[in-house]
Amino acid sequence: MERHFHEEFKGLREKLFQMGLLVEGAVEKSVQAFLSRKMELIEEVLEDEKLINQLEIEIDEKGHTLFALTQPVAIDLRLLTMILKINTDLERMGDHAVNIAEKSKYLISQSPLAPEFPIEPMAKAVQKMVRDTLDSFMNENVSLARKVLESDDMIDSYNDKIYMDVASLMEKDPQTVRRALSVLMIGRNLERIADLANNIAEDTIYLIQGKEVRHHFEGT
Amino acid sequence: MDQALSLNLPKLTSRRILWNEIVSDVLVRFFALIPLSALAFIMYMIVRKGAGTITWHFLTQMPLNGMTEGGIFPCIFGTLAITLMMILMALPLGVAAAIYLTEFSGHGMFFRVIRAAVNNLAGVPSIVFGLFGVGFFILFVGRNLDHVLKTGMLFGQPCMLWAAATLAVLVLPVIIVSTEEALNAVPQSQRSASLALGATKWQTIWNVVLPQARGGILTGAILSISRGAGETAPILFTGCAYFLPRLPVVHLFGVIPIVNPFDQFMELSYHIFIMATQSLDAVKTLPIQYGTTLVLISLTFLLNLTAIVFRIHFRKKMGTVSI
Amino acid sequence: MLIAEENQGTREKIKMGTRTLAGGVLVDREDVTLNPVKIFSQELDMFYGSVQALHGITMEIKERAVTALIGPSGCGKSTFLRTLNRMNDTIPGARIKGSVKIDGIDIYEPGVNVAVLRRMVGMVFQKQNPFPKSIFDNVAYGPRLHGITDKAVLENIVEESLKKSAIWEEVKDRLDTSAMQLSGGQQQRLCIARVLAVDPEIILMDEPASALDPLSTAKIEELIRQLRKNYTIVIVTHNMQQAARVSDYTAYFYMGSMVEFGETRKIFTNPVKKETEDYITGRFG
Repeated sequence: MERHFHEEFKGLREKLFQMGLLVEGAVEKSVQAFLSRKMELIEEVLEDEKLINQLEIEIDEKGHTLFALTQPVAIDLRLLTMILKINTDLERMGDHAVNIAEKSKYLISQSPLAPEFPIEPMAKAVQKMVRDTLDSFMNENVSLARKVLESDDMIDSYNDKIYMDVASLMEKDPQTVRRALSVLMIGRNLERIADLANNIAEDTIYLIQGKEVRHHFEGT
Repeated sequence: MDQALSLNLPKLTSRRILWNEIVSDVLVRFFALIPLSALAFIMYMIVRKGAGTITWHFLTQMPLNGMTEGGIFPCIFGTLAITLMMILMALPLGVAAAIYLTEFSGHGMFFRVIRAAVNNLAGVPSIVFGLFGVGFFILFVGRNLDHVLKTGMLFGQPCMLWAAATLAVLVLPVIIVSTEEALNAVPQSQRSASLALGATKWQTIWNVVLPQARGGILTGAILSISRGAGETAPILFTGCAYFLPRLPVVHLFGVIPIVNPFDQFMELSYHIFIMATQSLDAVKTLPIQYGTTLVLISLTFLLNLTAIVFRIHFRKKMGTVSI
Repeated sequence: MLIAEENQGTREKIKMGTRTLAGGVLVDREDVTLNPVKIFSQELDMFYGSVQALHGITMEIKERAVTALIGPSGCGKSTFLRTLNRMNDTIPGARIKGSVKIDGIDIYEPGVNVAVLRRMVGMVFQKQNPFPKSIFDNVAYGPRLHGITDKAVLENIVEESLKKSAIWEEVKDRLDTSAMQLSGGQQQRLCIARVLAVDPEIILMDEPASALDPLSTAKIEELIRQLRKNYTIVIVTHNMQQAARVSDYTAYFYMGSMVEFGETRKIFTNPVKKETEDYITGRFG
């Protein structure tokens, strides 16, 4: 039977998705700011982050109210806990986007570095993960969530590559250390975003199947 | 552990306890058998000696030959007529009193006084009712009515009206108590439901309480009829006749026959009494006595049976009321 | 599929820099704080003989909202409920001080017709109490009392009331059978239909689901949320979760006094009084 408060659950879930879209946009904009050296995008990211923080608080409060008023069990309980967890994860993603934007801001103000780092393909992969993870949550798509989990290794290898590239650049030319470190930080932040997307994907699988897949729990 | 248990075992099955059980069991059964065998003996005697007398002729004819022959039709007629008249008087009064006691009086002093009065009324010997009937209904009410209405000697004489009224007073406690029980058995929640829908107290009583108490009230009415039909003493001086050559019937407008409440009447239980004690030939009329007794007992049995059937029927119906 | 497509739209919008948060709004329990006051009890004291059962209850109950009364047994919540349709009048020795106003009219004024009041303020009891009559006659009981005899009109009222109480589909083919044959939950919804049939404005519910199984309870709760759109509902419940789920306002009673009264979401997330907190968290006593 559909209960009257399920409507509120649905609303909360949609609100969370809205927040996800904002985060997704912020990540994309921050990466674009770095790639195409556009200062105005950085401003937008900072604007977005404010909204994201605001939404986090709103969703948090509403979630707690729903806990208090509906005493959810089973799927309702999983949904509500997961919404609150994903809420935190998304907010953290927003913070990482801001970090990327800030490093980009510094890099834009400096002359560009000569060698190409694999930031663009990595960012693409991360954005796809974020996007897929949100879609899998919203559409309760387990297979999509599993695909997100699989792409984590790829991100790690990108990150390693950036690390190696940055290290060799710094060894060659100490003038580049500050800029190179910024690039390293961008890669590092992207990797963190991918981790958080991973978390959300795991939570989504738990939400739908009630099955624990965190920390490679599955199969043990 | 085991040893302690085995030491206790003989005590548990000691002969003393077993004997006590058996003795008390037998005694209880024996006492229960006394009324049963008494009833069985009486019934056996009456049926054996009375069954032969019961014929169509016996049930439908007037007594003949100084009541040593013929039937007992006037007695059956009189019994039916007087109990009917009695219940018509007693039921509305009794139900009204019970409604007052359960629905209106609360549980104050007045309620307790009335309850005590009702209970005491039930304990008064029936001959006292008979004398009360003469003193109150005939001599006081009747004579004064005659005096005021200038009706000569209509009310102020023994007749069916006063006999029925006396019986009505006699069975009033039966009706009040059984109606009270029936009303109290209607769950309070039913009254609340009705009141909360905007019904007045009377609407509630009429539409909800009384319909649900109907079974209990009817049972009480039937039991009181069977009680009234068997009584002799209250009608002894108030309207019963030794012998009447006619039925107590009057023709309204000269055509419609109705029971005449101002006439005297013959009655089954009284008929048995006089046949046994004041008959011209008590030995010759013995079959008539047994026959009449059988008819009377069958009548009251039938009424009691109806009451029981009613009670079961309505209890079943009430059982489905979720309280 | 549809959801995904819609998402795509929102997604595009956001990428194009439209940062309005239209869509995906948080659905709140409909705000009733601006609704007018329907019942106003002021400094209400209630006595059973020499025992004081209520102490100075002052409370504003909003129209078209659900107000829950909670508190331990004997705290006066049911007594208070029964002052609102003067059901306490039937108890000998009951008397009140102070006032209860409905739409501004003091219902304890001498001129008030209690029967009319009780039509306006319907009541559903703890234990379902249908009359041992047919389903139809149960619902038609009230309207008949109030003088409606036309068969077609009665039929219409019965159907409407049964529909409003979400039981029509279950009983429409057996309106002539005894109400006693329905299940407990159905009987309770029938009792609600019986109340709706006299067209009340306020419905008082005295632990309406405490004798029912969980599914029937859920049905009653959903029904309460439905009815709230058109009726002012005051519900007494021992089940705090129920109060949280169905009500807009909650009042916590203790020892005949109202300890705290406020919006349900506030009471259940952050009550002002420590006593309330102790009670709703089960730390009481």
